[in-house]
Amino acid sequence: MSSITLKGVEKHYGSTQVLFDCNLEIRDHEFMVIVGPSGSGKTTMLRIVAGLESVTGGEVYFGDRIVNNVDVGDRDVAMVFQNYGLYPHMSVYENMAFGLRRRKLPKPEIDRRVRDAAGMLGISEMLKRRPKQLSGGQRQRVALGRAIVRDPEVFLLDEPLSNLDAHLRVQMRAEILRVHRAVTATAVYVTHDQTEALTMGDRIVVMHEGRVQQVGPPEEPYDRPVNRFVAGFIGTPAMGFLECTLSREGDRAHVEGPGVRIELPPEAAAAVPLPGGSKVVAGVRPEHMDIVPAASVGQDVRSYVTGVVEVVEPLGSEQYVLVDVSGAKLTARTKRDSSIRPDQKVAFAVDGSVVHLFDTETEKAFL
Amino acid sequence: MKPRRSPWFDWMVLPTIVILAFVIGYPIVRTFVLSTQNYKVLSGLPATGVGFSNYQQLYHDPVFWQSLRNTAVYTFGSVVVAVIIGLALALLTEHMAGPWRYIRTVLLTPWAVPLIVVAFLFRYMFDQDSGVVNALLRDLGLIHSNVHWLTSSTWAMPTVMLANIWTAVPFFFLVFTASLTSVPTDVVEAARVDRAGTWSMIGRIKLPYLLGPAMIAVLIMVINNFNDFAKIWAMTQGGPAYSTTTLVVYVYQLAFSSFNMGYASAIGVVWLLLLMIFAVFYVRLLQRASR
Amino acid sequence: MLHPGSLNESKPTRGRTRRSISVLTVAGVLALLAAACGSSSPKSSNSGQGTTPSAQHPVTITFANWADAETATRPGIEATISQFEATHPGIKVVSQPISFTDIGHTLILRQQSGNPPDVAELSGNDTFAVAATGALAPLDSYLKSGVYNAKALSEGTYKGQVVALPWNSNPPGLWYNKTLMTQAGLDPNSPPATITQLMTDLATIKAKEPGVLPLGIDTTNRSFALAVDWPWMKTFGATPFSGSNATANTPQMQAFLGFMQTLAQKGYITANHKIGYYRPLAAQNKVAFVWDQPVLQGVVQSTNHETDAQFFANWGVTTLPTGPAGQASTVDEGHQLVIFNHSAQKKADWEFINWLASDPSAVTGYTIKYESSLPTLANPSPQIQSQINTPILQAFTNKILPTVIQLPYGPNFSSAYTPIMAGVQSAVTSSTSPASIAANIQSGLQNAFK
Repeated sequence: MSSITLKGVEKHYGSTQVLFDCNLEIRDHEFMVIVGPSGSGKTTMLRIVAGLESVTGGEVYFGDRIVNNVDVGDRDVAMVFQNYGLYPHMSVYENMAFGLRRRKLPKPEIDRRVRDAAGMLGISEMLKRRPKQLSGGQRQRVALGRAIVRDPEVFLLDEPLSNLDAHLRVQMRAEILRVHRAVTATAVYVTHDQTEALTMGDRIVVMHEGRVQQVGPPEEPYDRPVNRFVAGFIGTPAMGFLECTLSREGDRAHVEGPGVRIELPPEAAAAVPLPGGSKVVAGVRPEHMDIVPAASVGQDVRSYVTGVVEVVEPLGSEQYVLVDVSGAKLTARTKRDSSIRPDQKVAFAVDGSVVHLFDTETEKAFL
Repeated sequence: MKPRRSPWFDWMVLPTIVILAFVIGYPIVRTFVLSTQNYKVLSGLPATGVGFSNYQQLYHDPVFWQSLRNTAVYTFGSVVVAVIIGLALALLTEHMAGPWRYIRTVLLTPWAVPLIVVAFLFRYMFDQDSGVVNALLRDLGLIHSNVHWLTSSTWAMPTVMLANIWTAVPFFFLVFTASLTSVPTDVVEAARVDRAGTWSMIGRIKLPYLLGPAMIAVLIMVINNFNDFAKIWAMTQGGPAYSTTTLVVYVYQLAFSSFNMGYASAIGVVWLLLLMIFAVFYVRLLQRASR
Repeated sequence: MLHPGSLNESKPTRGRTRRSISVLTVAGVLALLAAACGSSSPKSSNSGQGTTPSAQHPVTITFANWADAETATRPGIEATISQFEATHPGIKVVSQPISFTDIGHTLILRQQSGNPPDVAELSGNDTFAVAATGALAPLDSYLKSGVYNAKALSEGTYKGQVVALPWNSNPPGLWYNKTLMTQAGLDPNSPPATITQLMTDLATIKAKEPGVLPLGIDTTNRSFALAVDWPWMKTFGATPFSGSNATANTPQMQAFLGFMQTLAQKGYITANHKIGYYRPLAAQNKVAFVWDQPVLQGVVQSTNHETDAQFFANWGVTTLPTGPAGQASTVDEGHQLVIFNHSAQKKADWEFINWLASDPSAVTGYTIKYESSLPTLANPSPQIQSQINTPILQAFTNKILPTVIQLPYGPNFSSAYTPIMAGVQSAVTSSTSPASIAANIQSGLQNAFK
């Protein structure tokens, strides 16, 4: 059993609290990604799972065993560190064998495991080298190798790809997933990069200011963000937010503001428990905005946003258009269209069924 | 593109070279010249060249060989013990937090005590009749008659070394404490994950990081001890008999008691050559460390 | 480096300056070598005898001494100097305090580097070591006959000329503590006269008075220690060297070393201590016998504030116990005053040192009062006579001074004391056999005399 459960976990450093009532269940064999901006508490949470930090409140379970007081060496976890944490004065072979020797495995077994892992990672030729003689990618593989030779129940990775260049990072993402499938351990992976989170995780945890914001499969925080933070953090470019007023006419409803009018589908209108005239925040993703001729606004196009172009960022086949909508900044992702220029007035059609509405006070989503 | 050399810059070193030639070059040349002369100031006679006979005399002088042995024991013995104590203290205080941190400051204080004060402090503490050490050992019932710490041929050297170790420990403590902070947290935590216990954490993970700085610190201290005169002179004047006479003390006795400048210079030259061996190692290590 | 192919006008000039730098450097090094090979002996200033000082043209005398460096004598010497300045308006005296142990070699080094003082206090071998460098002015032309006693003058005579004026007589004698002797059941009126008796008395003291050190004797590695220990060697018939012949490997020397080793092993003495170490012990009645100079009385009384009567009831002094060689002896480590050749005002210098050693107010006010030692005058005035009419000073004058012998002071003594005293130290601090210590001293002396 190697599921991991956090119940009401809190962490204080002196008078500073960095984790607040964190509850999380990581299933056996799952690849769980913890994502959040820096300072969100994601690394602290990983270190608590590892046993490198103790909790100041709550419980950590491995399976149904409480491990609050079990030291890192006895938790059967392996960890890959952001800066690899390789032993510089030991050969690659010794780096991978060290933990096994400490666990008193027989010599032939150690040798077999090290060579298997090295083979799997393509570093068999480098076993005699010192970490200093390796490239960044090779060091990363050694760090991975050191974790997998242990054949641990839990595999922890703390921003392992952040020191690699973009190209290598994509390659190593696949590598890590391949290794995870091979070793079938429960994996917890911390990153600040949502692309890594969305592409690698079976499920992802979004952290912010020491609290768990949302847990679910990668598409869930994207499709149904629970609050304005998750909505803004997940997705690139980020979702744009508009301060609007809710209008109700019978069972129909729309939101409007300066240069904005979006009609809501009946389910959405029903989900918002507010009377007409209330203030709400509408969130619009860049990919849900389509350029339309200004003349069609209010006629054929019933849901729209109008504003002034500030910047155009061409990206090959597409382009990002940054628009000022009466002070609110929105990004639209459109087909490349050289006719759009800064300072130009533009209009976008918006699909009311994919618009997210948030409470202005609590910033929670109305779902 | 190669940086352009500014030849006028070369001129700037000239004053330095001239000054160095006077303050370093002259005494060395003069010492070497003296070492080939018979020059006894008290004889009232001028110096006469005697070739290398001072060196022949030195080869047959048992006191020279004893002082060489004493120098080796004093130099390396103190360093070995001070390294071990300094390392142990650095490791013990590594994770001290809160008010315990001030222990580190306390541990550094012996370093701030002037050497001559250290010498007199130990002279009083280890005085066979009125010293606190004998009093303490007697009260604890460990000894029944006073130990002649500084006045027995057996104990004088260990006691002088103890004073030296006391002043050297803070230096190593500081070096090791500083080097311990350079051990990356990642590596230490990786070792914790790998279930490294206290000893293998120290021996396999941390010590290799301390090795480079330790080597440099050891050489600095070796050179320091090799030159140490003040402590020994103030505590025992090289005695009793020749039991704490090191090369420097012997040179001092010959030069400023007997005023046998020629012979003293010959020993001074030998001493300088030995010192230069350490200096070469030291410079090599520094170059390697800076690479 | 010159860039090849560059034909810039300034380059040849630069090449020339570069060559001139190397020429300069080579020249500098050669000059250094020449300087190093040359003689370093200072120019001797051969100025005349100086002018008579007057209040209009005051002269300043620099006076190197240890009297001003020791707590017991500092107030005395300072008051005495002030008194001299008051009675001699044309002369100022600047005291330069240097410790007793350091004064000899410090003055030799100062002489070598060309800045000796005008006048200095010296004693024992230091006087002869400094004289050997040719630094001291002969005093014969100033001396009037009949002022100083001949024996004291002869102790400051080097190569037929008087170079040191005797300031006081200071021979060590065997001090015995009558109170401690009585307590231990010994007769306080018959101090040990032979080495055998001494050993018996030491054993009695050791057994009866556990907190008391039986015997105080200087075993430091100094020329002073060799001087004051020399009579002990002589009492066993040993003479460690004579002239430049090492004569330490003898049965007599072995007997002396064996005696010292026995003293140490039986706990009768403590090793490596200066003579001054035992004086505070004497003031507390913690030492039964001390081989020390007359000054002991002054230090004891300034420490424990005993009256003269109390002190004389408590302490007596006698000659060294006689050993196999028969005769008792001692050495006069009297303090002497010297004038350096370098001085430009020798008349004033002489006026000062002659006043210190012979003026009744200086003799009574300093020599007797602070040094508690004997004046060196041939015919002391009745006033001085009455001051030295104490049991202690009488014993020194009548019993001890007659046993004074002359030591072979000079450069060989300077080279010899370290090997000999190192041997004495190894006798009193280790169990090395006297035979092998004597052999070590012998080879050390041979090496030192080369």
